[in-house]
Amino acid sequence: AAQDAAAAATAAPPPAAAPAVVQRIDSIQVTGAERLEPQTVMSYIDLRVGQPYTAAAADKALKDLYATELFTNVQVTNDAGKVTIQVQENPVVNRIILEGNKRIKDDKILPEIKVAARQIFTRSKVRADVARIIELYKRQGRYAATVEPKMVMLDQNRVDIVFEITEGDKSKVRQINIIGNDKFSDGKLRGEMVTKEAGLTKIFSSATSYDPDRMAFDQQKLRQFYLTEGYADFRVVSAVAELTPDKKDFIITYVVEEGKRYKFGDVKVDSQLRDFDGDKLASGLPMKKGDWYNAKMVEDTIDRLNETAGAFGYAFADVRPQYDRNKEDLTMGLTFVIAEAPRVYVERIDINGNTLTQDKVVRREFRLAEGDAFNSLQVKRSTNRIKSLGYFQEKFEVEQKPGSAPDRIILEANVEEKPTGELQLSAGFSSLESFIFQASIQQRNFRGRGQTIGLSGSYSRYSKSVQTSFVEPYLFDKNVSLGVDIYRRDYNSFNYANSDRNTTYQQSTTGFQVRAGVPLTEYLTTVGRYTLNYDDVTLDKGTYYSIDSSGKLSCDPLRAGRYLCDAIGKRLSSIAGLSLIYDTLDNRVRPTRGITASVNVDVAGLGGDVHYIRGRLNASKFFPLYKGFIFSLSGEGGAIKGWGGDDIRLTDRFYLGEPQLRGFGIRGVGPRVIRQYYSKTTTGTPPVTTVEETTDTDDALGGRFYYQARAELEIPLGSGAKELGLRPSIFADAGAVWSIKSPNLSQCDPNQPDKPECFFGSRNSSGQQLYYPVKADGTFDTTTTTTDPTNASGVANQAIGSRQYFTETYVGDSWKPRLAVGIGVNWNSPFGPFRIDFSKVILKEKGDNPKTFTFNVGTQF
Amino acid sequence: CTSIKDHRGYLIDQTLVDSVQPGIDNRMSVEKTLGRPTFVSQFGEQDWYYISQQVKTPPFLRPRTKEQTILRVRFDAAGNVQAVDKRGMEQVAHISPEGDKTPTLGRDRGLLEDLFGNIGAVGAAGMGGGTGPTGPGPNGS
Amino acid sequence: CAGRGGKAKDTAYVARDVDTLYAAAKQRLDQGRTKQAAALFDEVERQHPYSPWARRAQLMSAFSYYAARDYNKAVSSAQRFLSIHPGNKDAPYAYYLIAVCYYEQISDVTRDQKTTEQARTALTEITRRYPTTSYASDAKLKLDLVNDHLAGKEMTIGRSYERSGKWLAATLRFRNVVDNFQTTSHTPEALFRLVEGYLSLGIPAEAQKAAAVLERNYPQSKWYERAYDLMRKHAAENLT
Repeated sequence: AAQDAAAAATAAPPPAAAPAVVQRIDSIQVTGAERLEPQTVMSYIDLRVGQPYTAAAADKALKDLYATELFTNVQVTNDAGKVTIQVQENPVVNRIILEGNKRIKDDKILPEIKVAARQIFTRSKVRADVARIIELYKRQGRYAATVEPKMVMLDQNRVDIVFEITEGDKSKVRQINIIGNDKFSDGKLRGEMVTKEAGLTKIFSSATSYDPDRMAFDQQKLRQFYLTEGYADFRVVSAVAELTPDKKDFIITYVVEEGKRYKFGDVKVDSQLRDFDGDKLASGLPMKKGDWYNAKMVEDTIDRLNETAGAFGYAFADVRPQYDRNKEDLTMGLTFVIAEAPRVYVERIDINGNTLTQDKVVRREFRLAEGDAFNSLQVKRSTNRIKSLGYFQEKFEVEQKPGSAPDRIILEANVEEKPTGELQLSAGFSSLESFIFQASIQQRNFRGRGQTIGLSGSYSRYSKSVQTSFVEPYLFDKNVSLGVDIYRRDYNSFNYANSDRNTTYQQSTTGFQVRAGVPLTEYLTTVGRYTLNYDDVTLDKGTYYSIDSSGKLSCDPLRAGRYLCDAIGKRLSSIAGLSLIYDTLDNRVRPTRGITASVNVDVAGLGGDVHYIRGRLNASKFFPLYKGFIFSLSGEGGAIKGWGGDDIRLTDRFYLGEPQLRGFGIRGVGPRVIRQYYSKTTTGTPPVTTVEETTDTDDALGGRFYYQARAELEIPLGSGAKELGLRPSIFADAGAVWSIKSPNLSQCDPNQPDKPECFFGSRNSSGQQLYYPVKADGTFDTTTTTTDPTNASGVANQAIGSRQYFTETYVGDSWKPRLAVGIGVNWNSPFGPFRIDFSKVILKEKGDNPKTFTFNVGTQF
Repeated sequence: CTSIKDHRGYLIDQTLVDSVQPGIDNRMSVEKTLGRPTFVSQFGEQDWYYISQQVKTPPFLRPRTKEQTILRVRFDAAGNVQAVDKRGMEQVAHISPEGDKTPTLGRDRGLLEDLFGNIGAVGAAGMGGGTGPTGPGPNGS
Repeated sequence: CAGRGGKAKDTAYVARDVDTLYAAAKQRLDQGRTKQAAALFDEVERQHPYSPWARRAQLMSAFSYYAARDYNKAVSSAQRFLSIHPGNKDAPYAYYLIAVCYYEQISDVTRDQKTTEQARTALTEITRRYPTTSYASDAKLKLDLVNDHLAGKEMTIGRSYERSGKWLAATLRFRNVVDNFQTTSHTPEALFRLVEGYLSLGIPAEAQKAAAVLERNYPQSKWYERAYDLMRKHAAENLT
């Protein structure tokens, strides 16, 4: 605008000579205004009819009109009291065209520039946009870029603006030299800098382009590095960037003066705050007299002191270090001065941006209320709790704004809601259950009240289930959480007959669970729960049932194995449980720091026909390592014991394998019965019997005790992969499950004389053995079947069926740890959470079945 | 079992409080020593109140004030301290708040809009859905 | 020439004279196809910025966006009209349109009140700039409702503090309502809540003062009766 004013001065010569007598303005007339109405032009200036006409007033009107940036040319003329204001309006922008921009696309440039279609064209706006575009190219390291704006006049005073851009190529930093550094090598110092030397390995990195601001930043980095190493006198004497002879790249040369290395002198804390005594704090400082001086440690201490002051309510306390440098004995004395500051109180807590979430849902997570003393620890705890809700943006922070008085502060929670509802219609394939069709709708912030409501159903070849769940974290606005799940799950257990799987038994559970949780302290919560399950375990009658001695159709231990037979039946288990949960995670959805541990005890037997006590213990700790790596250690253990004479049923025992213990198949670890089948053929004379192994099946039996440990290192990826929800990690899983009453095994040993019960005849649906009737000539008619063992004349029919030979062995019942290490990736795929793992088993017991590659789409209920 | 202890309001410092004497101090000196009051009475003459409460929240129940000190500083017309009195729990009344409330306008979100309004992640990769939270929710939910 | 891309298909960049374009837009508006009408009015303004119709078209496009419930576009095109024609005789209508756009987006008290604040600033703008126009009288009425709504939000927060036992925070909120929102319908309840708060904090003297103010200003309101009962129950000796 200043430039405009100058143009105005030259363009409109001041009126020839103000007549000596002061003339009154009789009329004002505005000409040349096509788009704007005369009154609008008049509203911008102060000239009014009846005022005395002076050169100064005219000039002021000129300046005002130019300031509106609506006019290219304005003239104020006066002849004998008749003032005419002659204006020529700025054209209107019709279109903006960018030419020659290859490296930066239009959609990157257009939002940056101010001038837009249908707006008024002003030279200052265009000039600003030209600078803006050049700035964009500078950031890419193209210093040679030039932008030429061209105006194409159209009819009706409209104009098209064309920005002609010549990009020029990138000027790189070919070499960085450092002179005067003898304590640290050039390579080490270059490592500290952001700008890197151009080289083959660095073709794509933008850090190799020359950028003066980055050079200044590098000098700062150098200084910071030396200060942390104790060289308090370090100085960058000069930093020069010259063009290479071929004028394409730059060579940067730094001349540095390291100076001597200092040690810490005596370190004191001088606090002027009343309840903040210096010496107690001084003892807690990390640096001691005589250590090497380290500027970074000083900065960290300042932050820590600020934080402790904040914890006592002094939000605006400022901690300032006072150095007294002693050049002779190279020591740096240090006094942290905590200046007098009023204790600050929270005036208001405002919550903005919550278009769906209700105000109280966020407000109740605040650990301090209005009127309380400010406390930085409680503010940080509130931030963590709000982040743990999982409804808002990742980078959420509670902001502090100055209040209406120096000792008042306003806390602001500016939230951006992210979708918390999941409507997942996923079809998936999993090594757990082959094809899964899953439909679930879950809303983690139902009606913005913080409640979670879920309705989900899943169908796969091996399990069908439907479940509704509802959780209200603050029942009637009290610190009491209530959770209710109602579910119906049909589950087919299976075993492997050399890689194809057949169903051993079907278990269908219908039941509900009610949970109520109450906080005991800020980090400790106790949850009581009651579960009522109605289990119905059935076996496939055709294959496993036979007529037992009393003539009733019942489970035949030989076919199904002892352990399976006693698992059958309908049972009601009514379980009461209590848990104590300790949780200091900083973010429940994606934890980077903190501990979560819980002790759970469940007693089954208040009514119902199942009696056991089950105790489970788990704990996990997250460590944020260097630059985004998150290391987590977790452990789990459990024991179950029947009481009232009951033995633990198969379905209530602990199982371990995929997915908890990666590297092993489903239920791949722990006690199992391995049934090795043989085929026996007797051929030739004299008859020679040959026995060779055919298949073997193994049935996991679970155990009464188990433990499991896992160490996992999450590897951070670039932001691109993060958006996709890719989280790779390397892990080590260990665990064992053991101790059940060893089942009595049944043998049909091929090398022993055949036992009658080893003959597995096929039977009709009511369980009677079927026979081929014998014909007159002694052969057997295989076309029809009959159930009576002999024909009318007493000749024996041929029993249909086959004689099976197998030996059962009981293995895997040992507490020694199984160990597997591997690498895997977690991915939130459109089908739902997706987990791939490649693992290598290091320690295993006889009978465990390792599995190197497992993947699982869609969560299992 | 235990209940959660909290501190609400002004942090009382006994020595400072005793140093405020009627007749000697005025508004400026009180503000200098004790800082500004938690609130000033709205109607009638402007007394200064400093409220400091110890609150405990037993499980399943609402928080209740365990002990508190209310410091009231009364000033005369000239602004000098006329009287300083301290009070504890003597006159605390346990009131359950009235349920009725004055109606307000504003577009209320219908049930369906609530249920489906915020579904961003129709199986969208990486969005809000994904692996459930690891630890327990608020109050162990 | 360059295609107009995102525009509705029948308003491709076809240079037509201003009358047919404006008539087409008006006709679409009458048919209720407001989105296309808005796009056509924008075209009128872009192709013929200097015709007298352009000014009219800008305002009509703002109204069409408003009719199409696209509040943000309505506000931005009204603001553009005002930036070019602040002195125009229709300026009050543009200001009013902006205020109504915000007013209709006010959400319920438990949620963010940013749009309510914007509505309040826009409404006060009208009452300040054009006090005599009919828009100003409607704006005053709406302003009271907006203030009432903001007071409602403060009351909700105060009540949630009360229910979670944080009496000091609740009292501070209700004092804020009494100080800043005296003319709203929430004041009697705020005064009653103050009586509750002061009694729970153990300062019956202040509770008595609040009850006295409630009695003087709102003697018949149900809130006064409740306050009177509370005072009788908990601090009888203070009752005058």
